[in-house]
Amino acid sequence: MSDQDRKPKLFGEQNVASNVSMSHLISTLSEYEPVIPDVVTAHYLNEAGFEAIDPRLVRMVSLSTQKFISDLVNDSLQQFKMRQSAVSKKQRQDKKTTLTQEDLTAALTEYGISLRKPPYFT
Amino acid sequence: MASKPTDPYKQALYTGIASLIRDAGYGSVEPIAMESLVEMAHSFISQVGKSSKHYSELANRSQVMVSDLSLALIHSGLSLEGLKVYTENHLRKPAVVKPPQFEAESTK
Repeated sequence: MSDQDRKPKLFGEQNVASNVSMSHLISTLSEYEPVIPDVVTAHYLNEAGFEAIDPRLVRMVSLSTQKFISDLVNDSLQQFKMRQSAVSKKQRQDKKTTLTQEDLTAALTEYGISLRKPPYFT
Repeated sequence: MASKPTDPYKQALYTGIASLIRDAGYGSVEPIAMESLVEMAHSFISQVGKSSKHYSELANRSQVMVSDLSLALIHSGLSLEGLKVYTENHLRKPAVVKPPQFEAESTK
């Protein structure tokens, strides 16, 4: 990356740059294999009224869903680590890391989503 | 123990999300957190689908185009630049085997 790329860009400039990279992004995205199968994404998109004809678009939705979930899980892991560092080493019994609803709720508040436990859930 | 969903599409989502959680470094997951994540993934896909459909209809088209989808993704709070970085850093590309290169012998 050259120094010129690091400079803050004006709004218009950034727009142009993202338009250029957009076509590049679409072409490169189809090379990656998402964890969420394209068939599943296409089914849910069809349910929502989006006729999933172009496989590149479906692939892009799959990858962005994957990124969304992955970011959330990573944020939860950060919450978990912060909680662990607050507890003294002697008290740490469990070595296994578990993704808890508590951590997920804490991570989700950063996204502006409030998650509450349903009263019927066991 | 969380019971796996009966819907095959939900099952596939479940498996994919479980592998993402494992990749992040977790050893186990609470059933309620898992179910929340699966439902959120489902909701995210539906929302992006609806939103991009609306954007295409706003432009008098019935087919969704890349521009509609990117607007919908931006509207849902996902940066495209971040998506690019994510795919480059976290995902595998299928291996590309280069054909062997032979040097042509010069004929005098």
